[in-house]
Amino acid sequence: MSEADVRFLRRSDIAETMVEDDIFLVVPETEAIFHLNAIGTALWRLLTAPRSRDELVALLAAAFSDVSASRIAADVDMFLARLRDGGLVAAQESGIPGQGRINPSNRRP
Amino acid sequence: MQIVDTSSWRFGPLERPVALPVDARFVRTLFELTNGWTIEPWSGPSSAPVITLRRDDEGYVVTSDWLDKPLRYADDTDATCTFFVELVVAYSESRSDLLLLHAGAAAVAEALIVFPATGNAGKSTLTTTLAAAGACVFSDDALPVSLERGTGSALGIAPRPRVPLPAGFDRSTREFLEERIAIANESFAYVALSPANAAGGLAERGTERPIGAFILLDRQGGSDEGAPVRIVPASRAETMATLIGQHLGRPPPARALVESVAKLVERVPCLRMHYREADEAARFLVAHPPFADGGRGR
Repeated sequence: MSEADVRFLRRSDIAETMVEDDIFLVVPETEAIFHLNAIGTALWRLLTAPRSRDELVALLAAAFSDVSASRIAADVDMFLARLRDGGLVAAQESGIPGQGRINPSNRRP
Repeated sequence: MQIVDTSSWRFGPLERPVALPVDARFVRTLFELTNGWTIEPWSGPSSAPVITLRRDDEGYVVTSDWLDKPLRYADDTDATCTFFVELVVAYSESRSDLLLLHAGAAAVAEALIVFPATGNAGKSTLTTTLAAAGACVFSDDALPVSLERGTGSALGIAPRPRVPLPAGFDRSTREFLEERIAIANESFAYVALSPANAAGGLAERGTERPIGAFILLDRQGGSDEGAPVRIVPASRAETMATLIGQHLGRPPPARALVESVAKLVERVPCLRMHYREADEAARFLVAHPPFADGGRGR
């Protein structure tokens, strides 16, 4: 599966607290707290539906026209990595809706 | 023959004894550097010390319930610092209702100015010079905070600024601090302020005041216009992230912590101070308390 085929979807059970344009997220099982700036918050909002990395970059570039495209792309990569590592976002293969999160345990033969 | 090298002391409100060197001068210094702790020879039932600070031929050794291994120090200043840190940890363990913020704080009028720790921003030096400028020191390193009430309470432990003091300090500030240095090494000095909830004093442990402002420090910043001190609004989100990232001790559940701190930064002014010399900044803050209500309390 190439990166272009991957779609990302956020978990729906994460506690959110907005302060100004930023959002603070709490992962219930780990008690980890994530702080996202305005771009990260917009990305989090977009992840209510499965979206590819390139789709996220394009949508955010349109929303933050005062920020360079390269900065948007770098932020998307950084936030996606953080959110995936923290277990807040799951990746799905494109075109297979409902397949669920990729989890090492369900990829065993 | 058993060699007795420590004696047991009560450090109320702790419920277990602490063991200190049999050294009247050392114990007297701890008296001078605290306010509101009941320090007296232990007379309670036999109990293992919660903290032990002993002396040997090479210096001092500190052990406690929370240290994985004994910590060794060559001089009394560093040993005292670790003793106080362990004392605060022990105290905070008994006060689960309070969040221990990594911050300095001093009362101006009836409210607290709180400086969350942000790198090497100089909160200890600024907090100490606030005493010289007429404020009352609550803490230079860790502030117990009631998120529910929006208050901070004093730890009753003297501040420990870096030494040598900045060359730019004016004479009156320098004299105020140098006259009160109780112990020092080449890097830090403990300043024994008068034990009083008053201007220039060290507030009594447990004294509670409303938090009047959070101020993020930018010591390098200065001002383009030439003013030595400049205070500007800070992002509430940045202040909140700093507070959450800098708390010490045992935290409350994460969701409750986030929601409570969000409410706190909503109602307390969040500011950033650009300054060059701590004594100038301290005089400015005492003359112009940056509170929404002028410092009359909330």
